[in-house]
Amino acid sequence: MDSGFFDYPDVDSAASRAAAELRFLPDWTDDEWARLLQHAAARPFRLGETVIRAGESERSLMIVVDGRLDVFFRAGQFGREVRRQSCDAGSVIGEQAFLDGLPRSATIRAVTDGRLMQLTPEAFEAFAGHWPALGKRFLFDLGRIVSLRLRRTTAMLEREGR
Amino acid sequence: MAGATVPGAFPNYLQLRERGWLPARLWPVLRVASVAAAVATVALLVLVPDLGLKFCWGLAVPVLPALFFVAPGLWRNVCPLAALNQLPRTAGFTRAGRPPEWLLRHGYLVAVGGLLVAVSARKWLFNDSATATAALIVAAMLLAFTGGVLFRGKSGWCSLVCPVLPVERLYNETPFVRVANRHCDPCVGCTKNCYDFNPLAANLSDAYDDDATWAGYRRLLAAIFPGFLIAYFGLSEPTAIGLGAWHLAFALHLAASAGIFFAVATLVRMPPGRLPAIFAVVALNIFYWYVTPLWLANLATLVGVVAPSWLAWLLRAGLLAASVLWLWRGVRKERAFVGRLAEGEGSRLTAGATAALGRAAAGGQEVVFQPQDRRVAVEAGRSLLEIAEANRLPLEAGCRMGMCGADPVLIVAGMEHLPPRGDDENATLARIGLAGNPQARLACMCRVRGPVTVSLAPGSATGGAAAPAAADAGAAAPRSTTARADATVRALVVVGNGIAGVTAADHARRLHPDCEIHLVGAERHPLYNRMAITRLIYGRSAMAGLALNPESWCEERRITAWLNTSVHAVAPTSRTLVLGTGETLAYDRLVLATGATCLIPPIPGFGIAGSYGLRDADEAMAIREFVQKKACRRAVVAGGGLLGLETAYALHKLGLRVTVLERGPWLLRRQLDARAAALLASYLHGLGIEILFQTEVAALVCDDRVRVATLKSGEDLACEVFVVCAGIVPQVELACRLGLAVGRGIRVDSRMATRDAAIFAAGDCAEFDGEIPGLWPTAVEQGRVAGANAVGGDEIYVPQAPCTALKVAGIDVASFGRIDAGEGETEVVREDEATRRYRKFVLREGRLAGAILIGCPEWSLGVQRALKGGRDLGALAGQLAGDDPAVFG
Repeated sequence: MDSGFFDYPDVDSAASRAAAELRFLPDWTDDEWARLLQHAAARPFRLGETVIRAGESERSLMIVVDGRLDVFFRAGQFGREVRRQSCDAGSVIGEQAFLDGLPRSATIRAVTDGRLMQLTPEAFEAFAGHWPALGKRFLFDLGRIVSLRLRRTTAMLEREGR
Repeated sequence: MAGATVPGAFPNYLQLRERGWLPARLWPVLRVASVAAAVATVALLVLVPDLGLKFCWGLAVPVLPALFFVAPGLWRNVCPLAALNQLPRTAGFTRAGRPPEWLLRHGYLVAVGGLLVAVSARKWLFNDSATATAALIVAAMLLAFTGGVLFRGKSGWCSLVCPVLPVERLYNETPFVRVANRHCDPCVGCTKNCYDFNPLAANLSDAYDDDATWAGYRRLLAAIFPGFLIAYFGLSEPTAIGLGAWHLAFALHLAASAGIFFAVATLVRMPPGRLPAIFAVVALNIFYWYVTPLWLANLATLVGVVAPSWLAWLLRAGLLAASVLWLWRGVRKERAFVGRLAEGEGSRLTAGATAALGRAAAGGQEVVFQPQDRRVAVEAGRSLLEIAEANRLPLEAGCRMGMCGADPVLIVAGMEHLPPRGDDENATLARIGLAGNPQARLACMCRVRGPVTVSLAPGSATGGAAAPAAADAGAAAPRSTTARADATVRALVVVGNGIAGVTAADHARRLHPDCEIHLVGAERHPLYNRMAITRLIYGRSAMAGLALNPESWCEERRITAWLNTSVHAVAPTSRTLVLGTGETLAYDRLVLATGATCLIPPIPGFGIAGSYGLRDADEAMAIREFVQKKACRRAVVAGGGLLGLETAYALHKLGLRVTVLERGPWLLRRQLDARAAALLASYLHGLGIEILFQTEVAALVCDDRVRVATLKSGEDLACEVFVVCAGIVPQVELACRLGLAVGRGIRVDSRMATRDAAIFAAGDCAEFDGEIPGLWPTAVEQGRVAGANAVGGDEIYVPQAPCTALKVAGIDVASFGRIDAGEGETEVVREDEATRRYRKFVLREGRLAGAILIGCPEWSLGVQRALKGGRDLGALAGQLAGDDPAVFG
């Protein structure tokens, strides 16, 4: 559950381990990233721009290059928009829709100017067509992260006795 | 020190120190003073017991909860026990051991046990015994010091087993004054969720901990605490009811308090941190309800200052107000905390990968697409079409060479950052009625060199693109401006409404403003983008978007269109056609643009449901319909040419497992050499498309539909959809009935005239010089020549080097003219294994004769120009192996 509040210096804490677990493709070289990013599209965004709208069926995987975005969910019976988290450089967004193709569950708005890299499923297919071994590792790691998050959610539900 | 709490900010002690205003060297002084005060208290207790007890229990200790409530960090820094505990570390003689695992996990329980025992013992021991109290203090000091000698950081006492720690942790959730930890230099990570490390996050991190036991201990203390204080202050003295009964009553108070806590927790859903906070402030208010008057009385006794009677009420009310504020801040903080937790749930890249990302995104040109207002940054040299496709923007694609007109756009800004329009692009824009609009371009021809804003809705953007079609017909003048229309031609009939026929009708009208023009087509659809028919197999939008001309195109040109109409009979002597509908059309000139059908080799079983040839839109849509209706899973495509591979890709996109059968040793034998074809095959294989070489289908095994394709090798392939893409057969039946010279196609001269001077032929049905290229650009050029010459023009058809592109996403394959060097020709080959790029140029006498490009779309425009322009590249031959496409100018 940890969010890095207790990343003690020089100490292998549960928090830093938990954060490290969620690192995406931690062992990829610059060259491997370059091969992937060749298929991704850079997308600049402006302060206030809605980058993803809840309900849209667009299913790109996005990685924030720089700048900051807030994630909003609809909550409660009146569907009030609630800020749930924010993303900055290095954040990976949208892996669920990328994998399952279902409509976006959250709205993401830019709170600064910035850029992100966007990888459509089609672009990923092209990447994996050229580099099947890298494509396999990409998918495995994405699956691993989604699975980890499911485990953490399950643990949280158990903790809350639900 | 820092005051206000910013929601969402959880600074650790190092960040807090940056904001601290108290000089660092002051803290040791304060610690020495506090240890001295503790020693003095012990001395007082021993020397003047009554005064000592009053001072210790009546004045000093009651202040501590308030201090934990307001500025817990201050106490953490100056507590005499902490000072003693940290002395071995500061002085460098600590053994810095790690406490045993069980103690790390259950230390809190030890501390709570110590607290309960020590506080309850006040009633029957410490409150009245100065000696015991002095001993308690001394014992605590010794324990804290010993803990400091043995264990690292603050795990020997302060942060693990100190009995006061649980009380501190109850109240330090949202300190009104935050004081940074001044003990730990450096932090050694001695305990979990340390308050000293991150004051705001510590409590909630416990409440949200994955370890239910860890979180449960802390909830339990909050649950019993109000009952604990009520028992302490409310119960009669132990001496009155007996020690055993008193302890039992004490325990029942704790149980009742816990019972209420867990009943509320069950009945009212709230975040994990809230109920403990509510119970904590309730307990605090109970404590000071009882203690405030006593404390004021003790103050009066010791110092001689008598407080007014209302002061106790004022202090109680003040605490209540502060409690409400404290709770409200706690609620806000917990929301921020949950937000941060959710962030922690997100995946991130490593710092190195983020840096690589930054490099990849750097230095792009910004292109803005309207009306979506989508901004993208792209490397220079990519075409607007490729950019739109990469970003899933709605833009059709066809030939990718500026000939079909599937992708018109309007350049709103930045035209200077695009190459100028070429002849082909102008001609195509003229056909689709946009040549008069200076903003109009074809996206495939626009390779960006700087920032561009582009509208994908050419009909609605500024500039009124829809209107000037009529003007365009004149604006885009035919190439031979001297030609004059033949006034004797009153009626022209064009048979075939593909691109050759439509182009012929278009150019006939441009030259001849008056004659009647009939365009008779067997297909049900107006001119569409035949190169994109495989998208009908996997795309969502069926025919929408495939139309290449505006709906009013024929009307504006006064061309009578006959769709879904066949020619029933011909009478060349009377120059009339009888249509399938019974009408008769008389013509002075006839243009045959009847196209071609799919070549179907004799395959036993072909023709049963599930077997298809693919040539037109209806066939493509029929394949899609069949696949859906029968939930097909396996497909076999016969033919590894352009259409075969595009069909295989389309079926793959539709979710089928596809096998391609190629008779020859490699794919696209007319377009690629072996190496380029191997790169392509490797990519297709990576997508999951199986390719079998040097093999053919022997027969289809069917029941009510196709089930198996048996190969000539004897191998059987599961197959529910079988598509033949093995070439074309020109449609010459009408020409035969007209008595024209027919070889494989309708034989024509360079004016596109047949043996009958009144009849012309163009496109896939026409054979010029023994060749039937079957390509879109050829059909456009032949249609232009045939249409103009039919009404009096004098145009000559000059064959161009074939330019073809494979339309499979993820790989750019283009082929131009000659693909292998023959005698007197040279080759320049460049391959980059890491990026899967391949370039080959064939030169003849210093001029470009052909090229193969894999993964190099930025070169194709220059290659096309160099092929047409015939520029001498002799001096530049060395640069062709380089990476700069500007070598072609």
